[in-house]
Amino acid sequence: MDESSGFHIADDQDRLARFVLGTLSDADRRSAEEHLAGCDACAAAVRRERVLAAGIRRLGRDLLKETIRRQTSYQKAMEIPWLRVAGAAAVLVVLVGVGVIARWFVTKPEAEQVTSDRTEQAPTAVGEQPSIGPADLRSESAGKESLPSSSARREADAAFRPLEKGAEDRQAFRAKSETAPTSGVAAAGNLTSETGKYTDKLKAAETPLHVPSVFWTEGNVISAVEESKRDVGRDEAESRALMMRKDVAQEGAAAPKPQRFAAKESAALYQIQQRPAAALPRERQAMQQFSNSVQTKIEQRGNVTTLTLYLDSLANESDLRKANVETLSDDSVVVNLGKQKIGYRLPSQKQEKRDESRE
Amino acid sequence: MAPAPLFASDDARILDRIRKGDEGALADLYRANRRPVAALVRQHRGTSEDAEDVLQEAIVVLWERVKTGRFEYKAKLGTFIYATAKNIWIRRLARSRREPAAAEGNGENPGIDPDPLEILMDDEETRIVRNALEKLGEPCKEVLLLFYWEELSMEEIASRLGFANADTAKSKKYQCKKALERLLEGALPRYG
Repeated sequence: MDESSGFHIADDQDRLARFVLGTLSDADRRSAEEHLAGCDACAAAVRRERVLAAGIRRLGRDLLKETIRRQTSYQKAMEIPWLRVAGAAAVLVVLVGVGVIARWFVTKPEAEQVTSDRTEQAPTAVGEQPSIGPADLRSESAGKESLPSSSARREADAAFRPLEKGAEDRQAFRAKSETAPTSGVAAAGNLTSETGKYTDKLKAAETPLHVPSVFWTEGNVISAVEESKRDVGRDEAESRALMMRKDVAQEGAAAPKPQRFAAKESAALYQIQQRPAAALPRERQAMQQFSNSVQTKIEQRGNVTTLTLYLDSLANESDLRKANVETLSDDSVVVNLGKQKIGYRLPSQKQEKRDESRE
Repeated sequence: MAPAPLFASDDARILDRIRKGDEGALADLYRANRRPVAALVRQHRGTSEDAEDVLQEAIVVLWERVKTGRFEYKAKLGTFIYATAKNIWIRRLARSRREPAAAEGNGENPGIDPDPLEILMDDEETRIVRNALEKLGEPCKEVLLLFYWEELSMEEIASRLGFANADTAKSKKYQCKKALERLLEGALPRYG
């Protein structure tokens, strides 16, 4: 395999390539090296082959590097620049701190006034629902879920106070509210900016509503103010009452029977909440049969009854504040919601007694 | 020489994945070695982009050696990659200053002495060949990559590319190489 034998490595392309790539056996490699020492043409061929092989391998490497870049680009994009995040967090903490201090100074006189004649401080747990005041209405109108601010709580508590018969009632109400995720602001996350509004304070009921703890019913919009004293359209009310009794039965074991929600009539309170009809649970949407009907959820917690009205057109803040409930008879009520009046047929005590006697 | 024991089961798994051609191993190696190599390159006047490129290059060297059976396990893979990255970066620095690369082939680093091809890898002539190969198009590019980079035999190339037999693959490779050389005639004097 040397020059004297007439064989040149440059003549064997495969051997030349393997020599350059380093894949010849040790013996063949040594032989080739000896030959190259005396063959300039072969040495030149080896140099050319090296450049060629290096260039081809360069492309192979670049393609593989591209694969690595592709595989790690997602990871790099997802990497969190911790220093920047920490800096932003620090700025946020400072801003929140300044805001809290400023708010504390602004609301301090009011807080002192509210708390001065109180014997105890109301609990302020997260998820607190009742008696949301104007401050919260404003914040909710921005379309964001928000918990009542401390000043709003104080304001709401002040509104609550004249009506309450004792701190126990309020605490019991709050305790139950906190464990009731199906209503209140916490459940309003997917609703529109007009959602989650309550009457600005709890109101004393003329007559305690005689309802199960939680049930759905359907009211009828009464367009004219003069009609407010009318007995809710007797025919429709009858059909609603039938439907409502069906609803009560569907509530199952949780609330199988109507029950009085207040031991003392004077301790009965209610609040009105409105939500868009689009926020209705799917099964209730299917029951929306009439254009003037208003699906309504009535919840009783302690001595407070909350009516959540699902409306196509929501009342404005001012109307909502003035909202009230008129009791027409022991089984008929009208909710005055600004220009809208909504009549309800509720399960009557007479009906209940008839049901019980049948059982 | 007796085979060196595997130092870590993780390394054994990575090597196995490379042998099987699992490209996911590349990303794992990248993640595992990013910080030390980045620190090394930045310490020696490199940028983050330099560090990324050098690390990728070092991982590719490992891949290449494992796939072609030229890898000897003498140290942890992390050590190999770090040392290779260091050599690559020193070589690049030396070239930018037109100085010889002092650390190259000094035997201090396990199993990473560059072969003549690796030294040529960053040369200008090599880049010209690389670019010419890209212009060559398929299937010539594929045939030459399988032969020169993946170092497959003619039988394997025939099987991979669906040629009738090894002779057909050998003939195709010859034609492709001649086509590449023709492309290089104007650009590289030694091919003229």
